[in-house]
Amino acid sequence: MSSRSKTISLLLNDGARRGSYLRAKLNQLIPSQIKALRLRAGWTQHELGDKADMKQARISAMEKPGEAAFSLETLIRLAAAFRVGLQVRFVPHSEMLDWENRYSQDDFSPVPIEKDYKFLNPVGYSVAQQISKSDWVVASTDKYLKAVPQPSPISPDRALNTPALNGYSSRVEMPIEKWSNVA
Amino acid sequence: MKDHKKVIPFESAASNPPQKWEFLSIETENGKDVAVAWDVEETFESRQTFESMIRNCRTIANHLDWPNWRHKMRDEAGKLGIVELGFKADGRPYRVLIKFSGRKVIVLCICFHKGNVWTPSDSVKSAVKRAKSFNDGKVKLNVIKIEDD
Repeated sequence: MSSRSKTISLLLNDGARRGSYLRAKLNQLIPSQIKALRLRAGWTQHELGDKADMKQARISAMEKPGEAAFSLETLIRLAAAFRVGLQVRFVPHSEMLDWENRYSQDDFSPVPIEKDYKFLNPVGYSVAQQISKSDWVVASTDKYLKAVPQPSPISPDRALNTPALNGYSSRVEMPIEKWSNVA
Repeated sequence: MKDHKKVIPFESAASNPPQKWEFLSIETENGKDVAVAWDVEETFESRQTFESMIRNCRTIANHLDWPNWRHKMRDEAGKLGIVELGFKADGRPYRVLIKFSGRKVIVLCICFHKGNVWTPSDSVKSAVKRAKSFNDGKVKLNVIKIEDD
């Protein structure tokens, strides 16, 4: 029996072990995220403490795996200080493991609220996304690009009522019609 | 029409972060792998935490940013470049004594350390001895396998 099979067998049959398994991962990943966010913000532990209304010593403990117990309120205060959201939800083990395997402290950088354009302007963001999706059709035909009138910025209200932006198929038709006129 | 195709990479190709460090363990002269047979009691939670620690630390380029980083040892151990990493599991203060060799991390000893008390009491001495053997090229190194990779 492989080591992983043994672990799975223990997890399937023992609630205490399941708790230990989750604790082991969270005790590592929560401090790591706090440290990543603080380093990315360029703050000292003291500065983060001021922003989250905590003492520096507590911040130091929270950045060390297993040294501090986290309440939901503590996490909320930290998220507010870092100006990011917080998601606490129950998930399948596979999803948790997948996230852990993809997590990297060096690359962890959720955007702060003032740069979270999707949150600040959800309608405008979706229009911008759709336009960028259609760009590849236009941008790949450089020789026609100059001849094709470029779309003027579309207001979100207008964009929502424009059939050309409601799906891929209709979006593709727009530039092709114009290219045929040019040719 | 081939120029019109947008290439979307498969998620799996870019999913796992690159490993910036490789963790290895020493096999002592009596054939004991220090990361398999710890110098202190190993529990289910401590093993899982140890593996999570490695999985996280190996992707962090600057070792000083490792959440588990404690400090460089003093005296003879310090001169040999031995460093103390730490994690807590089952309420016990586990310590991992390591040594760097380029981008490789050599695990020398897994023990407890609280205040001035080391368990086992000769943990630092063992780590020093193993570090010297490593420097002399007398030890066998094994890659530490992580179960869920």
